[in-house]
Amino acid sequence: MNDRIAFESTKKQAIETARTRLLVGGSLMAAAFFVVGIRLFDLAVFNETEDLRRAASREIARPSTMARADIVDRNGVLLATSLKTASLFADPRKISDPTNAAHRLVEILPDLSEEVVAARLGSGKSFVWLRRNLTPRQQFEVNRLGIPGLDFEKEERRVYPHGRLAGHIVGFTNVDNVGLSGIEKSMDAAIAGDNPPLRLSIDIRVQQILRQELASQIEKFKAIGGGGIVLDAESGEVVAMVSLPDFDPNAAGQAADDTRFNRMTLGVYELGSVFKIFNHAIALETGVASFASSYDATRPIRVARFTISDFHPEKRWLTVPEIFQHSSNIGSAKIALDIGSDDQRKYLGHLGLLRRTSIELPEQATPMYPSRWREINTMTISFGHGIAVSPLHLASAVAATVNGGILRPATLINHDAKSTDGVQVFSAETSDQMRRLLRLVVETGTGRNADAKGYLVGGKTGTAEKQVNGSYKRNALISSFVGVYPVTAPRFVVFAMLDEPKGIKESYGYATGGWTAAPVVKGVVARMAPLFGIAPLDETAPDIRHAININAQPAIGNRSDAVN
Amino acid sequence: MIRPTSLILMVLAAAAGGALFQVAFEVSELDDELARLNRDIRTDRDAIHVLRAEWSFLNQPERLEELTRRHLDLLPVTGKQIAGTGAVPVLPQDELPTTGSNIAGVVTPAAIPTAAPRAKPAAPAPRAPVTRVASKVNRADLARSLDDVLREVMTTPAAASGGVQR
Repeated sequence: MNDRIAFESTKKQAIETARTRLLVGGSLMAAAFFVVGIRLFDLAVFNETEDLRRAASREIARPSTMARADIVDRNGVLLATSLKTASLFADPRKISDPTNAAHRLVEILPDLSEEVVAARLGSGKSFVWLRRNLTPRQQFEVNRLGIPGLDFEKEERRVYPHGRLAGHIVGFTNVDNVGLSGIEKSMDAAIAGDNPPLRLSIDIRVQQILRQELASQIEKFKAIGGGGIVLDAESGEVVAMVSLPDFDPNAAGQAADDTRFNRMTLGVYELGSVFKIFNHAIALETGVASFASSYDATRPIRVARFTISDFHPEKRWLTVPEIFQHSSNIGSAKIALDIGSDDQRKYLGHLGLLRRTSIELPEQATPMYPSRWREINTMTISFGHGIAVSPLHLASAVAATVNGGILRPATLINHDAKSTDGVQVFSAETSDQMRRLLRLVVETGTGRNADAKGYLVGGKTGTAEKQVNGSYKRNALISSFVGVYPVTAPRFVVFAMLDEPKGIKESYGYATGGWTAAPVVKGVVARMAPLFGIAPLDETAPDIRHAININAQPAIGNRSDAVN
Repeated sequence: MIRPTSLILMVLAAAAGGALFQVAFEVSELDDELARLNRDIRTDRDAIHVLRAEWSFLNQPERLEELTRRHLDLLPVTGKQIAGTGAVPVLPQDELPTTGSNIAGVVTPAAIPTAAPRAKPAAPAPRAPVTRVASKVNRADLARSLDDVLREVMTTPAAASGGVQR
């Protein structure tokens, strides 16, 4: 009985203990579940940080950032962009069989040399570049080889869809996306990083027209090169600028040095008679001569050991308009003597011809002019010898001469026409007279080949002998033409230049600006005017005749040319 | 014993809990969906970027000119082809209907002011070349596109553009 009681009591006690333990364990479990439940509830309902992250996650859809901004033309046509590519590198320590790996790689990347790759893979370094900028297909093929130790790094490669057409302007970068020339270099700070596209002032269509017209004349006259500029006469924006021969910025490394040379900004030339524009403008502005004045151009001028003579001598007294029309060096030199060295130098300085331009290109030159401005210099500078400027200098100064007399800095960046302050160089009246003179040259003078019908081109030819080792070479010419249109209210200045053109039968052996460069300007004007909505005008309409008329009698005592 | 009120409360609590978790899971799913869409947008943006480069490449003026020469009977517009509306001969007045318009609100020719509107020359619209059109850009298309552009820009022979070679 005692046993039984004892037994029962023991059993009961055990059950009690078990119950208690169970209760403790159960409570612990319940507490744990309760905590987990609370946390779960907290996570699901009250988790603010999670909600905020989620709310902010729409930011994931931001455009992927690029290391370099696009460059576009004035109409938004893409000129330079960055494409994501993969670059192949290797960890040679992980390459077990360099020879075999090199052999298989070169099959996919045939531009690599098998020996070089094998040497690099066997070098025992921890990192070697094998090839930058693979196309996606090449990347896939390399991956398929399954060689351990090869890997890719995401990179961006600069791509120039229009290639050589804007090569000198846009420039190029190195593989590490640092600008090395052109806009890529000068505007590096504005382009580098994730920036909005940079809009240039150039128009790729005009660029093509200019390049084509130039190339065909260069070929025709067997010139060694050439160039052209289309400048907005009001705003100073460069609408097109071509220098030939040119290069493809996509393969800038392989381009010859002379193709990378931008003749329009980095080249300085004695441009010859186109400078008579400034000589006449200064004379009219300072009042030393008027349309009615005349000068004796009967015989050449001899100063010291120099002789100044005319290319097409008229051998008579010439009025100021006639001097311009026949491009008389003698007459121009005599006008320059009346102007005087000081005024000549002052106005050329105001026109920006004695300092660098403000164009956004690293490739630009400082003009060359005599340090001591003597009388002989004044005389030769009047017809564009003894002073060397870049063609962009000239185009910019011509724009200032014809647009009402205001010089606005030449620029490659698209901006509003009147947003930059100009400097008044000439009076509106002088500018008006110069436009009449420029039209005279195209209607009846040396610039007839530039007359694009209906667009009222005015302009001036220039033919200069190149200086080689200090002496002028008779048969090495810089032939140029600078035109403005429509001459009644100029919108554009168009400059064209050929470097060492040779005379041909069609031009009666001449290689002058009127024969070689003027047709380029004519072609460019006729083809670009419709693109800019410039309607052709009736050149015989009375109001237009009135606007381009020159009221001056021919010089005394001689036959009268068609000067009216 | 469980009272009916307790039972109802328990059922309600369970239902509320269930609904809560249901919503939480849905949100999480939507979150994943959003992330996926964002990824797609990024891919498409990259694709657009490449296609824009290709488009610009295909629109090289020289190439368009060559295509026009080959496929179209068109030449650049010349000055002779452009005239203002003022140059169009006007019908004599009596040949025009003078009795107002038949249709309300439509001006009769007689009522049109005679001042010639400004001539708007027709700029030659560049003909876009027909290229492949992908309704949905996928990775493979993108890769092929980039491949084409890179290959072409990297291997364009210097002479192909017909520039001055020396």
